[in-house]
Amino acid sequence: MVFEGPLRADADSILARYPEDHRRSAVMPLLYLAQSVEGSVTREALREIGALLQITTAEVEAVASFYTMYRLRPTGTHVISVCTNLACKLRGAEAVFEAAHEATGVAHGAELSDDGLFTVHEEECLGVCDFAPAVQINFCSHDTVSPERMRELVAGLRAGEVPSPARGPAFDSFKAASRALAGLEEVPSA
Amino acid sequence: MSGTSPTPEDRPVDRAADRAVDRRPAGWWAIVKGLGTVFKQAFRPDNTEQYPKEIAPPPERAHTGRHRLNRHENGLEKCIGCELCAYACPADAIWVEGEDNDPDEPVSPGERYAKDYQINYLRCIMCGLCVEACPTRALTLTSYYEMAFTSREEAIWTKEQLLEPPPPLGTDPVAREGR
Amino acid sequence: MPVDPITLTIDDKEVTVPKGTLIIRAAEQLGIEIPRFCDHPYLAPAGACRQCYVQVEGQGKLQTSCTVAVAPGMVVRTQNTSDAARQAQVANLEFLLLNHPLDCPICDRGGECPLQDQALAFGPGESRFIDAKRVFPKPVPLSPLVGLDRERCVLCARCTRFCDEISGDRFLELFARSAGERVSIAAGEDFRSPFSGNTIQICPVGALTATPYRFVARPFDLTSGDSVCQHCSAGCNVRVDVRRGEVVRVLARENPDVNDAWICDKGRFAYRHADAPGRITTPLIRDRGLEPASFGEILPWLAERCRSGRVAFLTGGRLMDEDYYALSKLARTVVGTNDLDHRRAFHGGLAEVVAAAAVTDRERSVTYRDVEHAPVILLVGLDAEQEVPILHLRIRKAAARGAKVFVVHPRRTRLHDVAEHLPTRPGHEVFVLDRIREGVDGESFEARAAAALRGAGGSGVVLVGERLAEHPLAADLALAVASKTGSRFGYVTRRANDRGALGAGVHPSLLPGGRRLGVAGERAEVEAVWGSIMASEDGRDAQEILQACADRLVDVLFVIGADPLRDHPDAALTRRALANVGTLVVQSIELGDLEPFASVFLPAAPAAEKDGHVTDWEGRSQRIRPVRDALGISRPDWEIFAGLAAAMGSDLGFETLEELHEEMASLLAPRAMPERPNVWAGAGPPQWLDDLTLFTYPLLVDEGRLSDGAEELKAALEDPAFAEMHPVDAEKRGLADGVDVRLTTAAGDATVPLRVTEHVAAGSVFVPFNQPGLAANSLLSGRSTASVTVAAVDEGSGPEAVPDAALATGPAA
Repeated sequence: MVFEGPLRADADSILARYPEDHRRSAVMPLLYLAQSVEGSVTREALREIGALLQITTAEVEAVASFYTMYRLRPTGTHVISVCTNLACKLRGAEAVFEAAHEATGVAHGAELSDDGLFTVHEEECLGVCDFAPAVQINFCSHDTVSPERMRELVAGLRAGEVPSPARGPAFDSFKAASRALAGLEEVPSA
Repeated sequence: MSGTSPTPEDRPVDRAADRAVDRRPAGWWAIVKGLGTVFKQAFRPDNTEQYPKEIAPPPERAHTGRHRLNRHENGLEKCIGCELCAYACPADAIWVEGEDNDPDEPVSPGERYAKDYQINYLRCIMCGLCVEACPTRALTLTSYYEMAFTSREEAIWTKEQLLEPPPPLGTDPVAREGR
Repeated sequence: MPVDPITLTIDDKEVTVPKGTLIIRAAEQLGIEIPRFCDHPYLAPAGACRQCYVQVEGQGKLQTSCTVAVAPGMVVRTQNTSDAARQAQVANLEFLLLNHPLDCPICDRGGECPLQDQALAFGPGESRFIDAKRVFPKPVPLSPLVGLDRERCVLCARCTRFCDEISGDRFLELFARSAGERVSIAAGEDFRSPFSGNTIQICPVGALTATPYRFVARPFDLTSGDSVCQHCSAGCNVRVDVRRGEVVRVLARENPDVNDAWICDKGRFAYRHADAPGRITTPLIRDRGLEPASFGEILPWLAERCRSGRVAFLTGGRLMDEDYYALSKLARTVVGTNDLDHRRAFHGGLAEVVAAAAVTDRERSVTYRDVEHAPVILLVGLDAEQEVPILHLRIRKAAARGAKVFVVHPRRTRLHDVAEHLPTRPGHEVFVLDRIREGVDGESFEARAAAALRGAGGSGVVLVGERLAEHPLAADLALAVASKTGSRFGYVTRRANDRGALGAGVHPSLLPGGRRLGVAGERAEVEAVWGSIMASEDGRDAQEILQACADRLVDVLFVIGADPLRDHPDAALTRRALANVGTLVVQSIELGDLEPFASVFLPAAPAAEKDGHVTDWEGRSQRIRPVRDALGISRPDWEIFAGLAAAMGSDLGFETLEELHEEMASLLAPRAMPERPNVWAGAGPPQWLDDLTLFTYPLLVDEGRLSDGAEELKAALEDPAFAEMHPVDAEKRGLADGVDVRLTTAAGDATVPLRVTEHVAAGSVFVPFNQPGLAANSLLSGRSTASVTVAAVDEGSGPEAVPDAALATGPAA
């Protein structure tokens, strides 16, 4: 069981936000909540969310697999998303992506580092083309990241620092960010 | 009928056609000319093949004999059991049954292979439409034509037989008997 | 002229269509074919495949004609008159084929594939795509019945929309997005829907394929015949495909009056019974060691026994109208008995009489269309999904249009997401109905149902299942509810042609057309056609016939297209009856379980080999045609009856099907039903007679004979036997979910695993009728309910310690 004890109470508080006949609207915050436990949404969690919302597991998984912010595979403590869409690519995003791989030790073609600390993946547009190349670390935005800056950021994360983002709140891990996105934490505005 | 077209009676008679008949040689000359043709043919070299005593090699690229099912170089059957040959056959001579390939021990590349493949040579008219229909060049015609049967069952060739390359001409028991 | 007509121009031709019509449909009316993949007339518009682009004057962009409704004065140009539309369609087809594997020669869809056909008709011919195509592992089994090939998929979403809109079993969804988008099922789940096969049929490419049909045939091998499904009383129109005499596939045939374009998986995949190993194709005689014989020798032998002995007839529900009619006439005018019955158990009350009449009297009966358009539907004693699946889809369709659905049933049905359910102890439906009839006030289920039915303005529908009719007056009561609220009343029989049997008078007290044997005037109407009816007393019903056989009061018992050992709700009595009857004549398509008892087998032809009519639950009589020749010398049942009559020195009066139809028409012609007094006088308070009531009914996929050979279907949808119990009752007995329990009734006992679930009414135990592991009739004594005790099985006496449940009889503990 994923949703038991305090987590079940959290899920109930999310469900309470929506009218009884629109329960399925709670699917996205519940997915974030599930992600805040293991760092990814497990099969068990997909099933339980379906049961909570009285929809099928397939309907939940369709949502979870559509959005890239839900991780369905094992995930590191920190998730580094590098935009490689057009604007960022023209400004050298591939070198940044390469630097991220090098610094974190994630093998090419893989996503997760051996130490389980990092997940690196390509992202389509993050919506900050004016500050390309754009990178998100645990959903926190970092603008005009150069390969050197990427190495610094990774080194900082290894040292236990929380890099300050270009805007918005800072999260020390992917799980914490997911929990905030579920709407369960008071998030300080930047 | 429109009123302007002439009736057969009104049409002018073609006298030239009658004159052409008249131009033929007189009776005795016609006999000489006809016998000339006979003697010319009588002293031409003989064209008869002494089959089965002598077996002339068939012309190169003569695809006038029985079918053959081919294999890929790695030994897999080219036939995928798609039945298009059976569909194309105007004589309904071909029977194919498809089956799932075992992924570990495939018979043919891909998902499907022919579990059963039969050609009934009492029905086959050697038209070659099956060969044209085959999408994998699995089915071709050979130049092996020595197919004499003593029963209807024998006329139905199975997949195992069709996968074998044809033997050299003249080795068929019936052909040997005639020698 | 349609309501709200709208006139528009398509390809310079004017057409007038009703408001709300889609452009693609309006074009169809002009005979203009616009290519399409995602569009399906029974599914909501999606605009997913982008193939049906047309140009609409005044609109800057091309429009998808499957999503745009017509407007007055609209000028539409299709690919026929617009270069832009044609180029867009060609480009779209090239796009759809980018990742398509083009493995048409081995694809089961090849030869009847909309993608193949439309690529040929509207496509570019050559692709400019030279890169490697996307690959997926394939085929992925979604269930033992359905395989998915994602490489072939064009993401039209027909299958996912079917699951969402039609069946409500939302197993299929579109996962991920962009180039990785694919149809899928949740990991570790099975596509366990009894309607899954429809997604295969509507798939416009070969992405979803049927495992039982995989690589079995190509479309050009097949000869097809139109038929009507024989698995339940839904009357679904089907197309049966035969390859060299072997039935290899069944498809739904569209009929908007009956099954729309759908059939259930049982109808689609259970087609091998006629070729199953036990099939008989010649008469067989026990005295000669079941050696094949000819009709010429067997019929005189049989006639001799029928002349000198007491004869009774039991039939199943799979014969045709013609067969039942011939049997009714044979029994009454040649053999001289009224001991004939098609029912499995007692079904009493007025409802059955009304139903029999409704075979011809369409005024009073309910049709699929009535259900579809009803604002309120009340179902009593009917699990539509399991018993008549296509009716279930119609009820869901009505609910989707806004109908209120009320279900009174001891077990939750698959309508639970669209209906209000009142779980009722079996037998207590009458009290609920009585309260609905009285129209009680308040907020109760009964009050809401009554108010809704009264407010439906005469188009409400009351549907009653055959289990309810076990109570002698319950069906009358349901009829009273219907007449008091001005609703239509439908009596839903389960087996394929129960209604035909009822209409033809295969019944101890009813003659053809619902005429009563005991009423002189009605009887005279029949005698005017038949001549004299030899016996004037009402005959025995099925239970009484078997009792009489057991008591050696019957010399010759005909069992025709039935298997009472599995079907009759009293296994012990059936065994005694079959053992004690002098001559048992089994007229069937297969040997079956009756083989040890039968004196003679008469080979009947199955539906696929017969010409005739079947009557569905609505009373709609539909013609079916043979799709192949009868095997051996098996004959249609009515011909065997006519042969027997001739052997007895008599004559049924018809030798051809045409003569038979002529005679039937006169007796089954529409006639007004005489009004009959309603005898219901109030139920009084519910009585809790016993602690626990066992109830049972057949699930869709079970061990029934017609599912023989449908191994994939059974693997996909058949559960081994189980018992369901409410948590309250389980707690009282200290029973947990999943343990093995012993059920003990007056008739016998059985050991099955227990499911503790809130989906059955408290005070009741549900056991499916005929699943592997338990034939539930071994627990019954002539009715579908019984008083039962449930106890945990001791560790020491496992299931193997329990002897054959059917033989172990003992009083209830």
